[in-house]
Amino acid sequence: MLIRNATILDMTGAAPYTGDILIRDGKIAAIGCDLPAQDQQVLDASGLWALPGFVDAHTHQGGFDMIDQNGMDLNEMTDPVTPQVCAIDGCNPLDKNFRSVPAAGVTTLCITPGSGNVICGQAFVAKSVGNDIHKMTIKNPSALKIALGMNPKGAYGPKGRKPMTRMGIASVLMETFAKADQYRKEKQKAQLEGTQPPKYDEKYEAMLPALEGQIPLKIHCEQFDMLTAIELAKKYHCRLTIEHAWLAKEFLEELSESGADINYGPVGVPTGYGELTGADLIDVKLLDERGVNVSIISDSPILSEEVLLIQAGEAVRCGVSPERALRMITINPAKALGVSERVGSLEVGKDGDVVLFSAMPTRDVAAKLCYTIIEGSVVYTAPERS
Amino acid sequence: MMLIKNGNLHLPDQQVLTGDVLIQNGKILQIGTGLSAPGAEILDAQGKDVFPGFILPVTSVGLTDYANLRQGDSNETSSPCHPGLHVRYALDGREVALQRYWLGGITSFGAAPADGALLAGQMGVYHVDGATAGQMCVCDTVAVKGNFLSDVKATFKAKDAAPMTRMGMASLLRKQLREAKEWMQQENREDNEDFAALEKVLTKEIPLLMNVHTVADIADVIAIAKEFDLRLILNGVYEGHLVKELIVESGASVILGDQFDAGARIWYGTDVDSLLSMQQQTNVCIGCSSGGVGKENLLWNACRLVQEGYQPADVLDLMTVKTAKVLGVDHLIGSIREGLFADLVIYQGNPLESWSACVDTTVVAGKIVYRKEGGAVC
Repeated sequence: MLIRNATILDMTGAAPYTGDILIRDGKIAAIGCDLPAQDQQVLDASGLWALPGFVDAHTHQGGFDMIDQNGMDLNEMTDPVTPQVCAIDGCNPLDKNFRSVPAAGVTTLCITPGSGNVICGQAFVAKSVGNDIHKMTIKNPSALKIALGMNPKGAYGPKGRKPMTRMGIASVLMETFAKADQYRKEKQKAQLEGTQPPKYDEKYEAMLPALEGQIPLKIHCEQFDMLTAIELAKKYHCRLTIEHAWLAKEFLEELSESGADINYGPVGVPTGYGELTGADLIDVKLLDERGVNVSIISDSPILSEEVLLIQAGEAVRCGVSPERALRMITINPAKALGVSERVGSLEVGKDGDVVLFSAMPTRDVAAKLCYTIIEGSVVYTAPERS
Repeated sequence: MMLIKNGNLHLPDQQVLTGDVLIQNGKILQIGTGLSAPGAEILDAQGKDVFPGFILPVTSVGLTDYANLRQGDSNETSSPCHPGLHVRYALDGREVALQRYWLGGITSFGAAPADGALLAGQMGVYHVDGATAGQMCVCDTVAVKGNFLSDVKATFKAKDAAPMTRMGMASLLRKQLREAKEWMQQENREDNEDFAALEKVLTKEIPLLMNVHTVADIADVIAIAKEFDLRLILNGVYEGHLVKELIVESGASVILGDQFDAGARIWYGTDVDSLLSMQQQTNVCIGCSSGGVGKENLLWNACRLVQEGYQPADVLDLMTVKTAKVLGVDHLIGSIREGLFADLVIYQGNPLESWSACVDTTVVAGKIVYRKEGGAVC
């Protein structure tokens, strides 16, 4: 496919420029002026803005059926510690909400277990179009999902089971990590010495990639729970992404020092007390100014996928520049998810995931998504309006 | 007195005038150019857009008791029908203030009981500023709010009580209305707050506002409203596009459901264009999730329509004057017009055109409730 004459904002930090994008075998083969057309499909993008397809670092697409509660497949709330369950096994890409993702300009999404358990399970990263979730997947597992605060308390407290409190959550977490780390060490030792490894444990096995630094901990937390998350990651030398992060503005120093990526949001929720405080995109401005890798998330389908871009617009209202706001839904989440070698910016060698808008979408409210392209195939075309 | 000077005033009928607004006793006294008022506090709105405050049509915020989530004050489900209950006894001004709705341009809202009961209670329209329901009041009672939803069936099925089916809901609704009618005809009638509330509905003093999603919900509610000759507001209406003629014929007003909440629009395949085309025949406005929403959601719903190609001025009407018409309070709020409450939001830029537009100053009933640092003042 050849995209002709677009205003390209490639998210490498370069200013917008006019040019063509050539996609061959799903990858960007060239970006430049007047690229020669051979036998490719040519898409005239004169007057349109070309951006990398959006990346949503935190969704439950295909696993939360918000209307038919029989389809709630990403919260195995029978045991507070379930690292062994995998979101990919609970994800239905034929779900109506999932089907609507390309129409929101989102081409890559992380799908994660919900937050009902303390250790919730394995998250993965997939492209947004297809019928076979395994073929769509580009990284699995991508993170070990953990949750602090209200959600696990709410799941187990009423049953009178641990954890009923934040103290209980920290205790479950620290105890499980200590045992898993012990398991890791014994397994390593056995391998070195050629002795009998410890008895296979599906939970601890599932925690090894995070303990060995291959994937990050993806920890749902707000307010001071962030400090618990940082303490855990530091103790076990794990990579960390902090999810939701409401009230981050009160912990800027600790967050910046921790080196964690922040996947912020969603906002558009009522404010209460405690954990229900401080959902405000002013936080992403403050984090960005501190050099933290901050992304905006939709948490879809709790809110529909379109709120990803809309929140980037809202971040602009809070003082973030339109270009920085776009980074928060493209290259920043690609980095946080560990898939930036493939997606998040328009560069030769990366996947041909492109969105074409009628105007700069974080500047003009009226900017309309015209096409979504994944690996060189048009997967969404805006309907003609009467 | 307060005088807003030289703003781009977004007046009724989509007129834009660069001019002044004089405010006295919380109301708009005069609109014009070159106005002066000795001693008045002056707000310089030069280069800024002055809109009527946005209206959130139906929400339970203020009744939810976020400090103690498990026992909110919005959802009385001890019985399926209690139309006599009134939100004024549960409205918490502090909880409303926590939302900082003025940052989203919102100056008033319809406070309604939540979605668990069939006839849930009486709703009113309130300002976003004030400590008590009395201080916040725009119009104390605008409708009896009910729900013809699967939520109601689920609530009472769990108690092994009626109604657990749509048939059950319809039969119970008819029974309530019929009994209220009989009560109205009695000579020495006993006090009954539920029947008294339904009397207002049956005499068309106020409408019945029903939360509905599917075609079946909508058709049942319209049939019953017709039988009892009621005024009707339909809220949600995610499948309304499939029975547009039926809705138009019934004369019901329509509040569009939240376009983002829980993917309902996507789940039901809502044709928003089709629903909005009913504006030719009836009152239509946009709404948000009837549960809790933040300060951003109403404007997001508006911005999505702009993304879809609607003109900003038309979309502005859908969250101001048309909302006021749907709720029957357009003589009080919803426009920059002499005699109405001085509910104004002054923006730097137009938030329906530019994402960088932000609130400079919000005025609720003539009082400045928010002013950005360096905002309009002289």
